[in-house]
Amino acid sequence: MILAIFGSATPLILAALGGLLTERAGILNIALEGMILGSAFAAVIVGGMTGSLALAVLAAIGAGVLAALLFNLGTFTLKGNPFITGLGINVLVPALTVSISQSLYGNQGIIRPDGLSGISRIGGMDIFIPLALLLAVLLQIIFFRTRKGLIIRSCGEQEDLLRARGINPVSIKKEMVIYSGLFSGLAGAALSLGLGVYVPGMSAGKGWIALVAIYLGYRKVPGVVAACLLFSLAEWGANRAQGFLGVPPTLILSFPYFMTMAALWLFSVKKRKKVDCSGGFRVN
Amino acid sequence: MKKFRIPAALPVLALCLGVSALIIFLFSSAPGETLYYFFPAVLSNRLYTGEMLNTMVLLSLTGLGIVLSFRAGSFNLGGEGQVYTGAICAVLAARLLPDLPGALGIPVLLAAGVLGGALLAFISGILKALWNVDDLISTFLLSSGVSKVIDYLISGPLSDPDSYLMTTVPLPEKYRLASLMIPSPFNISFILPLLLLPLFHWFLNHTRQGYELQITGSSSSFARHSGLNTGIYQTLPLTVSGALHGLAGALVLTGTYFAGIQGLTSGLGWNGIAVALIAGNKVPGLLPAALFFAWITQGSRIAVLHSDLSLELGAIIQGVLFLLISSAVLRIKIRRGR
Repeated sequence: MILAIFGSATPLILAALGGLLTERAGILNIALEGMILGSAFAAVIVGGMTGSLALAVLAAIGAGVLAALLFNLGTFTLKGNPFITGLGINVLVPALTVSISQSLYGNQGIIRPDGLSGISRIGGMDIFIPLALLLAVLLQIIFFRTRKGLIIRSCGEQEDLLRARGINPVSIKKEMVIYSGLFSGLAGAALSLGLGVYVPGMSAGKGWIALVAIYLGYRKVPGVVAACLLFSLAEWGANRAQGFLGVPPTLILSFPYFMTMAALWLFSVKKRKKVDCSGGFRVN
Repeated sequence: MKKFRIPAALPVLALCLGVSALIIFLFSSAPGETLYYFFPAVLSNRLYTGEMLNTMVLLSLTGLGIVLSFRAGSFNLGGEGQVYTGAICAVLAARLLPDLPGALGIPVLLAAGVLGGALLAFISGILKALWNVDDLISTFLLSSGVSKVIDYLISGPLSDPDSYLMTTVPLPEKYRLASLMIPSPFNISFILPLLLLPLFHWFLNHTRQGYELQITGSSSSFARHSGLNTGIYQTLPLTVSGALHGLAGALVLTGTYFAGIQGLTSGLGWNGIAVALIAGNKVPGLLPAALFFAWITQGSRIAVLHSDLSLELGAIIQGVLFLLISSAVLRIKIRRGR
């Protein structure tokens, strides 16, 4: 049971850590969802062709970084609204994966290459689980024990300070978006390789839930990881409820959104009590 | 005398069309023919033109909803769910009140849709006003959750036992909006944007409340310190935005599909955002923006139907449009004060 929860939390944790990087640098990364889906797709395609775990993961990271580069192009090079460009990626990626899958396999549905299931399992455990936890620890160290972490954090809080010290905040943000693409790539790989199959729309709101986990976790690494675990626990419970309460499976699909909503609300109520309306975050 | 100004979004639109043409050239074996289907073929018969005009009507309504919430400083990302809710509320109204005469029944159905959409958005608005819950995330989450519930309702409790498809019982003939361009779904609802757009334009620019709404939108702390009731302006515009989306949903039901089918929103919510952005967040720009968007959506649909293009051309073009549309670099600078 614990392994099952950790397993389903792993893509969330990886994506949320990536989102945390950009969030700390002052960019709300809406594109997580599209990045995860694109890399899940790339991982299964390349994994199915080569049968190699390493190549599949590399392809997933490549896809995530590619989406991140597109995000950077729209947001920084062309000076667009990060929110809208992110939305563009979320619309573009599913359409592209469908087109590519159609031209490669002649169908637009589920892709299940042979010999892919369990490819990421080594010694009975998904290797992405320890990887996600390791990266979480690493990120915590980088954020609070290194100069780079200080720069990232001040990029989100005091841009002028960075500029005064001769560091360009835009290039820091661009870099963080690329890293979030890398993390989302790992998340996508964990998602699809763990099951050995690609299903259209398999990211199923994970990118959004990752974003909410960031706020629920007070934008701190341990909190974010805990929030991701909480969601997975709730999801696991909902799936169980399907078994003995007879809740229809289509209805279960709505639970993560409502639970996230409830969590967001409770979080805001609590925050409101602590600091009196000093203004939340805002994308514009 | 007012000079004609080139719309600021023009380069983006041109670029977007360029990208579409490029995609067609790359993926199609007969690019010339596909390009014909993509662009001029929309006007080639009554069905295509009527469908395009119908989409334009619906998009201008959802676009208006987005503009209104943007101006008040809110983000309404729940358009999809609000449109869907509007449609399902109209389905429920038709089910509960099967005996009304058509002339009364259709307005009742539309009102039910408006109420449903408004209620969904109102929740986000009140949460923002009371606890500062971020509307951008809450509208999206509520809408996604509710959409799944509606999917369930359509496939389960409300499904038509006589049909093998995932659909509700079709509306009785008297509750349907008659087509003005048979066989297309284009109908009398085109009057609604013609009434509502000028109304909201007047409200935003020529009334005290409209002015206060925009102040709240551009700086809520300034508005609060000026003694405005910001809570109202954080809740009501979002609610009205949801109402407009709900209206569009009820119109889709009574004018286009006549039954609640899964996924009937077909991107009306998201595309409303694109339309609002193309229009530069201004009400007068909404009709041409909706026309442009309806045209490329319809064009890509026809192109995929008639040619060897198997890909999701429409969605790809839409994605590219979103990537480019908010760009400040690609915008024509409008000189001020001359």
